[in-house]
Amino acid sequence: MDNRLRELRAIRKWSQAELADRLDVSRQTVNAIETGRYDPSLPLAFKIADVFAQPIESIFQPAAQTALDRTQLGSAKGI
Amino acid sequence: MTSNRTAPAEFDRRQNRAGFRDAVPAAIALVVAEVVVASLNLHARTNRWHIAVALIPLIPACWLGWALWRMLRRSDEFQRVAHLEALAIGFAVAMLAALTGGLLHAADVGSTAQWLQITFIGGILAWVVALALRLRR
Repeated sequence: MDNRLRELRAIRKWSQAELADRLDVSRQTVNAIETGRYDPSLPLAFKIADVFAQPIESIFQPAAQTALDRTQLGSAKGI
Repeated sequence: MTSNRTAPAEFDRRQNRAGFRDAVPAAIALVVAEVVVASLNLHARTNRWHIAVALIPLIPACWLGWALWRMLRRSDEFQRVAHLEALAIGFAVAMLAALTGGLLHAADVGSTAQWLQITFIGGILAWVVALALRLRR
């Protein structure tokens, strides 16, 4: 699963530790999610969506979906 | 620019403090029990209570197991998965080492005590290495 955690965190200028504090998880967990080594459970994904005040589907997408979006974007641009 | 290398999160600090408080006294008690029993030769067969004395280190070992259980309960979801995967790998290595030891012992290679130590140390090492690899930042 792909996610925009790092990007959203960068916009808010939060460190991984700050985000971990807001989610009440370890920094290792934030790092593992950002690097794609771990997919969060549904409750944690909802908590992340709540912290960033965004719908869950705008933060997490299936890897195939992202690839499909890129393909469609490429077709639209005539690539 | 976001920083990945900052002070640990409050969750980590809380967990480290509790882990230290739980595990360190148990580990010290285990080492002390092992040293006292081994150095004073308290488990020699001449002692009436040799079986009970030989099993004394089991008490701090159980204490350590309880500390591990509490650590698992305190972990967040990613850490819990990592701990359980590492424990599974450690268990598989220990089982494989026990089987290997049994087979080689049947072929008159090494003693039971040696193979037990190898099994124990191998299992613990595999567990610790697997955990470190899984939790790397």
